Amino acid sequence: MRNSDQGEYVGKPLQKVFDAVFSGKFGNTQELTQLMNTLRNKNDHYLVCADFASYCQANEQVPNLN
Amino acid sequence: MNPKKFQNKTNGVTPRRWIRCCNPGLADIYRKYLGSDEWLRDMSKIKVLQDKASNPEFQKEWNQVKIKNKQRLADWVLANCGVKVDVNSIFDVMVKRLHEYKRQLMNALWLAHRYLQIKEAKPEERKKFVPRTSFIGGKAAPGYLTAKSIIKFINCLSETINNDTDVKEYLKVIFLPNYNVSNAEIIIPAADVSQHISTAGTEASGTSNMKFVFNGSSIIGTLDGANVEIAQEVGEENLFIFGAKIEEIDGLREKVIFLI
Repeated sequence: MRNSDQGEYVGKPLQKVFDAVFSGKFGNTQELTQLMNTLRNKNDHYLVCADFASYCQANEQVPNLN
Repeated sequence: MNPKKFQNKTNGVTPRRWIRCCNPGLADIYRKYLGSDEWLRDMSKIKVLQDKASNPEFQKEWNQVKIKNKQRLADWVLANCGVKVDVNSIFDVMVKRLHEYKRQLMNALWLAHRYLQIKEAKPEERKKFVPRTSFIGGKAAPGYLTAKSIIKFINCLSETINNDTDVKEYLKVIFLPNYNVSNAEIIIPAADVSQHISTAGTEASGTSNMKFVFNGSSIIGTLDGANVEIAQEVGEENLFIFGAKIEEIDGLREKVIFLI
């Protein structure tokens, strides 16, 4: 399983969040960029990016609770 | 000698503290419909309440207790964080020790994603977003820089989202300070849904998942720790299960190493 694509692994919605953080939308750009880098560039030991899409789906189902 | 006297249980919580002490309204409902407090010794006794699930009177009493608990937390948040929250929104709670494996960061990233979605939607389209208040709380070990940064990130989100007039009606983010047992007794009974989202294979058991289900909150969770047993007991259809399963983890980690 060599050379999988970084962009595909992170996914578009999450990349958009990263970009918003890098652009300083939430302030403290330097510290938060370092935090995002704990998930990027082969560092994602806890597989946050891998689970993100299915996590979004689970969160969106919550209003159907009743 | 006494084979029944000593038994090992990895982790557990008691209904005395996590129902009767912290949620007296719910304890009253149990006493009323079960006729005694025997459920405190044997939680399997509450199984008969399943038949009441569609009973309108029972539902009404249940909802009244939940709203009261939500109001209690809303008052606490106003006093301690200075933020007003809407008790009619969905209370989404994640309180636990701060650690990368528990993935509070994934929750925070989802909140940022949700914020961007609401912000981009046209005003008339925003109605489709059911109002939600997300509470995250927990302490980080003093020397654990990444965990401290996650707290910083959540507070940054909170600042941005709660002050954005386009969004604050549909989403609020609160970081709950000084998470401890006394505060947990106020926080947990108020939850509509709680988050237990550690990477599969990392959480031995977890106990806050048990405290939340005691108090009638659903779970958004991975198949990890005691979530697996809770799913067996209450039925997977009553939880929001997502994410990689333990047998997929090694393959995914290998994929991460070979990213270009």
